[in-house]
Amino acid sequence: MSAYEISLAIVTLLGFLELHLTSVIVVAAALVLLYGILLAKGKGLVHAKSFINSIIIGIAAWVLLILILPSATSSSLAQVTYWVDWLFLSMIAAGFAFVLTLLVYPVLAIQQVKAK
Amino acid sequence: MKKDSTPVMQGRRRLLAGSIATAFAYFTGLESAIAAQESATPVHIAIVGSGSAGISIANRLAKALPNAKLTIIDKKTDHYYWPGLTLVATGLWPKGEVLPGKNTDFLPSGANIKLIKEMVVSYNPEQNEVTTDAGQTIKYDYLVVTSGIEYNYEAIAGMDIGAIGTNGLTSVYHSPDVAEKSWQAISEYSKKGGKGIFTLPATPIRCAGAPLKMTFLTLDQLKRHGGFDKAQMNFYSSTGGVFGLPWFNDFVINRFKENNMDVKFKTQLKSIDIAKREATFSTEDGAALTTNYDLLHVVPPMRAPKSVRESDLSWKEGGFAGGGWLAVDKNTLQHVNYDNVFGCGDVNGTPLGKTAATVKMSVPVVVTNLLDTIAGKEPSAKFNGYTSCPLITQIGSAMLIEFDYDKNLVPTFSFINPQQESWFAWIMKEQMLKPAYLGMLKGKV
Repeated sequence: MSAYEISLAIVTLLGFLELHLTSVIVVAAALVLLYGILLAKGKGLVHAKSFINSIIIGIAAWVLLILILPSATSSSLAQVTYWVDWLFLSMIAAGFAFVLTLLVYPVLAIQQVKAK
Repeated sequence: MKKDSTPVMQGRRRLLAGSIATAFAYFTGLESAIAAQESATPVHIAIVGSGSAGISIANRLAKALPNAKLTIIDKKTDHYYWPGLTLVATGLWPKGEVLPGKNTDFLPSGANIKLIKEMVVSYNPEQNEVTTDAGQTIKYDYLVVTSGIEYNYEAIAGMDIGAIGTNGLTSVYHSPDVAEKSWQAISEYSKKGGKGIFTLPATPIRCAGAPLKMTFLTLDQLKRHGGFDKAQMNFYSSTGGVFGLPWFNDFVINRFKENNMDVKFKTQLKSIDIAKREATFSTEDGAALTTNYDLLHVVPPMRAPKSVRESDLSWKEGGFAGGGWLAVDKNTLQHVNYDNVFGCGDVNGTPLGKTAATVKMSVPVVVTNLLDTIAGKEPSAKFNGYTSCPLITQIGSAMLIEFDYDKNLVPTFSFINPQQESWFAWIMKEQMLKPAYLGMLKGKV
């Protein structure tokens, strides 16, 4: 990709996030709150079992998002026919799944700490 | 002022007279030193129009020439995201999606930047001045004309913009309000079916793909709402085709025919009887064709705004003279007679591109060449005529067609095949182009 293509992609992505600023703020606030609660428990950030479980949930979410994202964008899975479609669908689903994983992990870790 | 007596030359002489160092730089070929000093010179640049081109240029100039006086002249207050109107008129977007804010929300601000909420009614390039509808005369050193396009609905006898949305009359072009009303008529038609006629005028038009998108999306809405089997859709083009690129022209016509559509060429909408739902067309052999319809999509003939059309700035001969389009060099976008005048956007009399994509790619060219001119240099940037049409072929699929003056395909993302219908192109159109557009307004891309 050329420098122009990269800069256009970055500006567009940042503009997309700006247009959905409320959602971005809600997710960011939720992350701060959840990781804050986890840290406040005094048991550290790293909890292996919760980490593995959140990764599994993230992968499941990724597969599910691949199936439902086309419909959620007024299209359908049947219209995803081009290799570029599949590449971007996978990447967009991975992006959302990653954010979900980040949110799920502290929830699982807090429960793990409570259970001990 | 005509070439050879522009403020550019006067500015250069002022500089040479005023600074030995600058003169040394000039004669030793250190043009960059002159350019740097010239850019600090408080020139006055007037920008006529505060649409996408005017705003984007104003933002870039405000950064490039912080000492320059910028005057933006436009009465319109609401900013329209024009590329989204096809989605509003076919029920895919609410009207609010194409109303991102006021023009003032996007324009730069500063002590040297002034917005005059009046319309330019006449240009006097010999005197470097424009006159507004309030009678104010505004002098400038440099002028950028970005005053857009005029919809000539009056050329169609019997046409009444106020009736759009009723009696099966639709038109995506006029405004977000009218696009929304058009959806009311298309929505009704998509359930009942009947005879639908989509038109294309002979003049250059804003977003030449929009009439095709309207047709494809209406076809899809017919299929989704049960009216398709009861519908007879038609596309009447005033020209010899439906799209400027042969492969895509054939693709669209074939797709229309696959949907049992009748496609006529050299068939131009002349008059409408709205109450009777009757339209009359002129045909290639000069005969009149009068037909009833249940849905009519009107694409008005278009031309440059009257103030440009009737000024010394418009083409006086050649193919662009009829529409009174701004006479600019198609590569530098500098006026062909007045070095201190540039044009950008729909108003330009250039072979291609009355699209937001063209604005995006031509704004940096205009700004660079204007800065060159202010610095006393020849315009260095060349515009290749880039334009883009995310051609929606059905709800959820599109083709991302980008091409230049030579009709070469020039995809921004080289790995994307423009001839491939894709969900990715749909996402670009439906989700990502608006943020890119807003970034362009701010001068970021």
